[in-house]
Amino acid sequence: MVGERKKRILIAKPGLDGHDRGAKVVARALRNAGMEVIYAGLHQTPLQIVNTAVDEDVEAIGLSILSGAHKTIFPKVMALLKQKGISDILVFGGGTIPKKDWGKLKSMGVGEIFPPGSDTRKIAAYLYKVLEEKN
Amino acid sequence: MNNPDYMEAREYGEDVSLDEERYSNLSGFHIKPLYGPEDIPKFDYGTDLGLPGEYPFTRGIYSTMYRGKPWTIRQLGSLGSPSEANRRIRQLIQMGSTGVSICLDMPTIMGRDSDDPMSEGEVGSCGGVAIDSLEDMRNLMEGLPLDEISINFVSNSQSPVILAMFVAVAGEHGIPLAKLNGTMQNDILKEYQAQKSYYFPPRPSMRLTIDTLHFCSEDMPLFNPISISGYHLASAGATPVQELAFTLANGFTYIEEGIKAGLSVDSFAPRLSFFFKAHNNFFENIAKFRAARRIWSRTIREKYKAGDPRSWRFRVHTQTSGSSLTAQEPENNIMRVTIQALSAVLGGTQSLHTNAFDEAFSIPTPRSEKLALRAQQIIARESGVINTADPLGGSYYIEALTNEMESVSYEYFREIENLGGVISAIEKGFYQSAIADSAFKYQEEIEKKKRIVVGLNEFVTDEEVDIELREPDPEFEKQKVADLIALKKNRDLNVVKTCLNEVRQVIQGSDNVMPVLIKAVKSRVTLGEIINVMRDIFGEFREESIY
Amino acid sequence: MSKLFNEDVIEEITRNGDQWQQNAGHAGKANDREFRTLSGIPVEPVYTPEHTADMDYLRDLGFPGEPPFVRGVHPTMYRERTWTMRQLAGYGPPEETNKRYKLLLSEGATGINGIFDYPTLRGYDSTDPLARADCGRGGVAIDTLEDMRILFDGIPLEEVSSSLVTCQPICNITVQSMYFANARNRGVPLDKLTGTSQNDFLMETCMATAPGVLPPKASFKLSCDAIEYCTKHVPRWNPISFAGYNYRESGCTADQEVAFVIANAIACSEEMVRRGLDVDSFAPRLSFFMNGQSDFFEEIAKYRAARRVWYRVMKERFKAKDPRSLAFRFHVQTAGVALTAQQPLNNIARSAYHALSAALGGAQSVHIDGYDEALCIPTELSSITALRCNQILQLETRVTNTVDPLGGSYFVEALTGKLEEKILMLLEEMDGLGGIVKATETGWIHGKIADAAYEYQNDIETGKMPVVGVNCYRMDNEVLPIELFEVPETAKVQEKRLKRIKKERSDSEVQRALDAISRCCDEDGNLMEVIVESVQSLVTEGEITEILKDKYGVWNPPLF
Repeated sequence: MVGERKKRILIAKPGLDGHDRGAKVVARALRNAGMEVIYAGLHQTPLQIVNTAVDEDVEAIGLSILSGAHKTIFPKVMALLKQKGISDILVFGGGTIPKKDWGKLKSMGVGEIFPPGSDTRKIAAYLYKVLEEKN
Repeated sequence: MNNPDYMEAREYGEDVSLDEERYSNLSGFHIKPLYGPEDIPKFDYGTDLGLPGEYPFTRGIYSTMYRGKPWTIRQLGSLGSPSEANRRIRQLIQMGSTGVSICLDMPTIMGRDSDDPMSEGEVGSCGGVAIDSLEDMRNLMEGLPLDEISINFVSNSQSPVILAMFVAVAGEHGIPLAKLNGTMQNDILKEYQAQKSYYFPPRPSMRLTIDTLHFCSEDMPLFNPISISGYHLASAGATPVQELAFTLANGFTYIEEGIKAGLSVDSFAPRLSFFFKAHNNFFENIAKFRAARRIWSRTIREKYKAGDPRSWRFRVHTQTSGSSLTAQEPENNIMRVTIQALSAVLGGTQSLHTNAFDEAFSIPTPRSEKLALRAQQIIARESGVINTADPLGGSYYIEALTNEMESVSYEYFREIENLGGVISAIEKGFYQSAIADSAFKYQEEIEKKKRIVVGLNEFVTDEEVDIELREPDPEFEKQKVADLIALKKNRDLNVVKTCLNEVRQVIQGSDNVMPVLIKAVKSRVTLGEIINVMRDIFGEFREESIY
Repeated sequence: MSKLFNEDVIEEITRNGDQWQQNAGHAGKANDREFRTLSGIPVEPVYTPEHTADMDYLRDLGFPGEPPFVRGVHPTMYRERTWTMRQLAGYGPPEETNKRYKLLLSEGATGINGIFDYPTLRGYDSTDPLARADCGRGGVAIDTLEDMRILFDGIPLEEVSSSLVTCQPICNITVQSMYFANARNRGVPLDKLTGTSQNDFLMETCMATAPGVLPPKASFKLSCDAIEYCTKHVPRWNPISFAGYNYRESGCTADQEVAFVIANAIACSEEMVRRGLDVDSFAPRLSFFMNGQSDFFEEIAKYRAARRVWYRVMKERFKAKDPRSLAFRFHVQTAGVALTAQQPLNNIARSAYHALSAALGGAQSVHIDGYDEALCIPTELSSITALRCNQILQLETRVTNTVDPLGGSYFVEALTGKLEEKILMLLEEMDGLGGIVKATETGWIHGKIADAAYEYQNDIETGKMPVVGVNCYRMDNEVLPIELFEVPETAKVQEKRLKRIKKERSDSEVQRALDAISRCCDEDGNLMEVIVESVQSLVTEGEITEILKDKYGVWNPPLF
């Protein structure tokens, strides 16, 4: 719609893992779905991610984690956001994050987790829905 | 013909039109309904196929192939701590594995010690071994008959250090270097193209690689110092024909760099080996292997003038496709892996790793790992496919497909050449965009149901997945870090300082780095310390993100 | 003439091959006793155009859907329509099996494949004292038309193709009749029904048999009655599915499997012709049921050889003209005997490649065994997993993209030729014996199978035939990682039902039905014509069987 600002999303790969196929495909899919996507690239620290999110004024951060380090990284990101007094950025994620860990993540304030086999259209729809509701 | 056997309770799929797209393979070739002699018009048995073990090796690199000697069953065997990994390896060997692959944890892959701040939360991750110092390598190799088994180190940018450690430990076992059998992945080109665990820019990385090649060619003739990998390219999204073309182009680049560094091609080419993926598309996969053998032998003989027939042989390890396995209905993955493994065998692989069915969840449990191993044993012992070499040779479809893979590969070679060669193409972002395009197309096809994945976008059930998972051990990281700190305290810091200076010197010069590295690791300099010095001198590589 | 290589090229290749063999060492020796197919055919270290030098493309291969049909019975095979995924189901009382049918259909199976319990297969009622222990085991229990109604309740008979694994004529004559009668009661005209019945007299007389079965000639007659009935009234039904699968499970070799089914088909065709039917009126509906065994390439070659042999038999012996008479259409079930009780999950890998070879061999429909095959009848999970394997092969591997992908392979073509040779030899031998019914009466078939079965077991016990988990890579103290299927209570259910039915039905109608059957036997009429009507009276299978055995006597198969 004319005048309406495109949703800005940051996609990042925290930690040391370099397998970025999923993150890239999702980034492109979200772009095709009409969002503005900043792909932060590889080997990002939680601090780098949060700083980029602030600088780029994004509405949501998507973290791609395949290494099992989600139990360390998500809490760090959430803590940093809190520290900076940011409460309106949605944090969501994807990768090999077992279902049994989702509850804990959600209780920290993390949004939806998209496991292997997720449909990118669903991710886009989710983002649109949640970000609309926030506004 | 109105055959009622064909009446079905449910119509599968759309109306049948002989719609081209529907009958394409992963590489995008349109497959004809039938292949006959007319599809291989200029076929000459002698020049195109020949006999197995003879140039151009299309039918296999050894004359009797599996009749003479079965492929090596080489399953990945790792677990966070080196001593636990050691135990797993011994178990696998007992169960019938004839070679072992060892992969590294994320921090080691990224050249960082366990106590590096960036390593937090990732020590022992992904089923990889944490290697900080010689101590760890020693524990990993404890009691293993290094002169009898074949070890494959899945190490890349850190290879010079890992190799140095391996050499040092072999020395402690009293085993002459000339007897050491094994492989190191050590393929940095594919890091820039796909896996992204690079440290420095391509050119200094290439220098380090050539140093390792040189070292091995002189002192470790049974060791394969490089496994030029297509698997990662394919996992990142490359189609089978891209995997084929890009891998071979990388191989040729290593040849050229070796020659530039003053090595004679026959001094190192015989020990180059390759690493392919076994995709879901059965026949396409088989054709890929055959085309690879033919292209490699022709090019290395005619273009690079290799005279030793062992240089002409394309030796390959295969892993079944992890990215094709689903989290949904994981038992289905057993079938997928079996069929993929069979295609690799019919393609003539020298060694094979089969994935476990819980691939999409975690690293394998002992049970899932055993099942994966059994699939190979069943194919080898029960199916009879080993009785003859290249059983599909002569099939019109296979020969036509092999030819097509070959000709499309040559198109890619030309394109890369026009960009100034592989390294130049990397710097220009060619691989990143080619692979990202293929990856996106693949996902799109799945979402549009042009490509079916059973249990994922067709025949989906809402089941609760109930399989046991292997859990990482949080205590492990704590312990590892503590051990490392203790080790760092208990060494001669002056010696460490001297060694690091020597490293700093040698990498700025043109001497082979290996002797200096070996000395350093023996003095308990850590992997991270060495890599950090290199980072300091070479700089870090930052890629332009193309998606 | 469409030879593929000219003579001097073959000579050159042969010369190079000889030289190569000299250099290749021990493993390169041809005729090495170590390297044989499962059925004992020696395998060369490599196959080249030398081995297919006599092959003439148009004469020996041709195109799919055209003589000699080696490359496939239809022109576009799986491109046009993939093989039917027909997973076997049957256990307990009919209401239970009905549930499993519906489950499989809802999960994507494309046809029904129903098997009956041991008592039903032998013609006994569930209440027969001989039957109690086996009631509901190995298949579903069917005693009367009422059971048939329950079995197919809610399943659209005119849309779903049903394969009825009735095994042998003594069962088929009644159960098949019940199926047709049920269809008519539901208002579905017989000419709309599609499906298959097994109905193979060799099953009754040679495979897994017991004393006291119908004599071969009588069993054969019942089988032919069904074929005749269907030809006239149920034109889209395959009234017989020659059970090569079972011959193979009993122990015979690949070439015997094909030779026996074809010899059986020859006998049926001769009888039909004798009864005055035109060959093209029934031959298109003769179908075959083959085994998917462990030797990957031998199986593929076997299917291809079968197609070529059948074509030539039908064309030359019976002068069939309709292309559908000339096409060897077959269903494959992956080999049960190859699956192990030890480490049962390994069976998933086995069945996957068994099924793949069936697909590469051009099967029209495929059943994949459950991984718990050696332990119990399939659980829901093993059933679904087997179905998924079928689906993965069809949808993910792209082997369906082209027809007969292995065509032209020197090895496969050579092996196809070799198997054809052996099959033809056996057919000739059986002709010499007077045909397959004769060969059964004299015990010749039993002897052949027993010999082969013994050798097979010997090979396993000596380790010559490796079986992972059994004679190599064994696991001591294995804990079964799977749940086993428990057959639900059947005998009591059936007993209760039969009691009620016997009370409610009209005794005089039943007697009339039985008399009609009796008369038909005396007059040598078509029994199915009569029995299809008889079952409406709710006469039981056991009651019908009793009459047949009374009229035809019983026979004890020879033991070896």
